[in-house]
Amino acid sequence: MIVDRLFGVFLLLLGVYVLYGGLSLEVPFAYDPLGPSAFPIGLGAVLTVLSLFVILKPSAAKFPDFSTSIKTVIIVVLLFLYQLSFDFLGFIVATLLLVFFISKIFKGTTTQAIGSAIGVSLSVYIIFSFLLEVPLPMGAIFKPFLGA
Amino acid sequence: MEILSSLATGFSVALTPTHLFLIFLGTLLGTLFGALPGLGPINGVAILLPICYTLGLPVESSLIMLAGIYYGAEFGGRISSILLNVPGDAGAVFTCLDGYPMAQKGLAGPALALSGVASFVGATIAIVGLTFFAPLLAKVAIYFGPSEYFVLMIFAFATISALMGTNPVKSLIGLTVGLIVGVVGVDSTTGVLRFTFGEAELYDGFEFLIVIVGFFAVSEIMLMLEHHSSDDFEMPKITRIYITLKELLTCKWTMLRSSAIGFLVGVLPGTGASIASAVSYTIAQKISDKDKTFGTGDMRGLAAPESANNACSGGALIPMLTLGVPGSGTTAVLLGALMLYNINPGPMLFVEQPLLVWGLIASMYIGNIMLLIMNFPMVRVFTKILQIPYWLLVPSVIVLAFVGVYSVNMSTYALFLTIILGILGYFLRKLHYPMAPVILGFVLGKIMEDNLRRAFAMSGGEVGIFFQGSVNWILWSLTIFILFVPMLAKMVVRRYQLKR
Repeated sequence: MIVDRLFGVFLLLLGVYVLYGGLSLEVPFAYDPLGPSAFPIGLGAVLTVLSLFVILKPSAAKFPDFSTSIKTVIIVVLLFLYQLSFDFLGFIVATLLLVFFISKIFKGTTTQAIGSAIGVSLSVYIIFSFLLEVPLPMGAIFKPFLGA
Repeated sequence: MEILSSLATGFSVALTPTHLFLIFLGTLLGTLFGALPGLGPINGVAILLPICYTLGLPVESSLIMLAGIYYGAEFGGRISSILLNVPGDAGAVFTCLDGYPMAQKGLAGPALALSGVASFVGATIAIVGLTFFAPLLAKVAIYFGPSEYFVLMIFAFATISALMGTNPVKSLIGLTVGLIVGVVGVDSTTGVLRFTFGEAELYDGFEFLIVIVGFFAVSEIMLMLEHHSSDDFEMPKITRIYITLKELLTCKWTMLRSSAIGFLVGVLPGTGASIASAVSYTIAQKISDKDKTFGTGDMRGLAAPESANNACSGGALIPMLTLGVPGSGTTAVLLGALMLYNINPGPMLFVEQPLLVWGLIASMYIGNIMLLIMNFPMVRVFTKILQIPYWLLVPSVIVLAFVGVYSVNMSTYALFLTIILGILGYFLRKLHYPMAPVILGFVLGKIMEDNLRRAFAMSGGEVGIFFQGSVNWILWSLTIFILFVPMLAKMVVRRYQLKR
C-alpha cells in the first residue's frame, strides 16, 4: 500500500514536472498550430490527474522480505559501480568483479562464482571483440603497463 | 493471385542460404531464451536485439532473425511451464494449468510433443491468416491521413486500457509514462530541446535499445531474486517424447478453435498472448470439459492455450505491418527495431517495403517448420537448459545486455541511463503496472505527436478534422465500443452467475 502510494507521489511529481516543463518551453517559431509544447503539457496533465487516483486508492503490492530487498539494492549498487568503473578498470576486470559478486548473491559458492566470472567475461570478450568486432575498453588504469 | 505471387517473391528472399541460417539461428536462440526459467519472448528479444544490431545485418535479415527469436521464444516458453510449473511470461500461465499436472503424471514427453504440435498448428494458421488478411488491411490503410492515424492510435490505446491488466488507471499511467519517455529529445519540426537536462546524449531522445534493455533485462534481474531457482524443483522424468496420432486427434477441434481465437485476439491492437490464452482456455473448458478433467492434466487444456499463444504472435504482426500499430508488447519491440533502421512503420510499409514484409512472412512459414522438427530431437537439450543455475544465468544475462547497449552507443552514460530505466521498470512491474502499454507508448509517442500536429497544421487548428471522413467515424465507434466491452463482460458474468 505505502509503496504504491509513494510511487503515486513520484508519478504526480513527474506529471507536474512535465506539465511545468512543457509550459516553460521557449518556442521561437512553430510551423504548426500546436507547436512542441502542447503534447508534453497534455501528457503532464493526464499523468498528474491519473496519479491522484493511485495516491487516493493505492492497491496492495507484495514486496520481498527485508534480506531480499537488501540484495536488490546491492545489485543496483553493483550495476552503478560497474558502469562507473567500466572505462577505468576495463571490460575484463570490471566484468570479473561484477559477475563474481552477482554470482555470490544468487547463492553460488566461491568456486562457482570465480568460475562464472572467468567464463562469462572471457567468452563475452571474445564474442564481442573478435566475432562482432566491437572495441571494448581495456581499462585506463592499465594504460601505463600496456604502453598505449 | 497477387497475394500468391507476392508470397513467392517473399520465399525467394527467405530461401537464400544466409536467411535460412538466420531463421535457424533466430528460432533456436528464441527457443533457448524462452526455455530459460523466468525469461520470456520480450526479454529474449530485448537482450538479443543489441547483438543483432551490432552484427550489422541488412534490415530484412535482421527482422527475419528477430521475428524468429520472437516466435521461437513463444514456442520455447512452454517448456518451463510444463516441466517446472514456472511460466516464462504472462502468456504461458495457462499452459501450466494442464501441462504441469501431465508432467507429474509421467507424461512430460507427450505434453511437450503435444504442445509443440499445438504451437505449430496455431502459428501456421496465423501465418496463413497473415498472408491473406494483411494485404487487405494494407489496402485500407493507404487511405489513412494524419488525423485517421492519430485516431487509430487512440483506438489502440483504448483497447490496451480496456483489456490489459486488471486496473485500467494503471494501464493508462503506464501508457502516459511511455509517451513521456518518448518525448525527451530534440523536437523534429522546431528544433526545441525537450527534457534533455543539458545532456548531449539525450538530444536524440532515449535510445530504443536503452529503454528496452532497462525495462526488460535490468528490471528482470532485480525480479529474479524473488524467483525460485531451478535447484528447488525436481525435474520430471522424460520417457517417451512422441505423441500418438489418437491422442493428437482428440485435440484437433480444440487446436483449430483456439488458433482462430488466438489469431483474432492478436489482430486487435494492444492485446497480447495472455488474453489469447486466457480466452481460449476458458472457451475450451466451457465446451469440452464434460468430465471435469481440465486442470488435472487434460490434453485439450494444454493444446488450447498453446495454439492460441502462437496464433496470437502471428496475428499481432498484422496491425504492426499494415498500420504500424503493434498488437502486443513484443511486436512493439520489433517495431522499435525497425525504427532503429530508419524504417518508418505505418500504412506505407507494405507498399514501400514489399520485399521486407513478404520476406518476413515467408520466413515465418519456414521457421515454424524448423521449430517443429527441432522440437523432437532437442527436447532433452531444452530440459538441460532449464537446469542452468541462477548463479551463472543471471550474471551472463546482465553482462550480455550491458555490452549490447555499450556496443551500440559506445558510451558508459548509456549504461547509466539503462540502470535508471531498469529501476523505474522494477517499480512499475512490482506495482502491477502492465509493461506492454509503456513500451507501446514509447514506440508510438513520436509518430502519434507528429500526426497530431500534422493534422492540426492541415486543418489550421480546427479540431473538426478528427471527425471528418468515414474512417475516423469507424475508428471512434470502435473505440467507444471497446471501452464498453469490460463493462458488458461484467454484466454478462453477473447474469450468468444469477442464473446459477
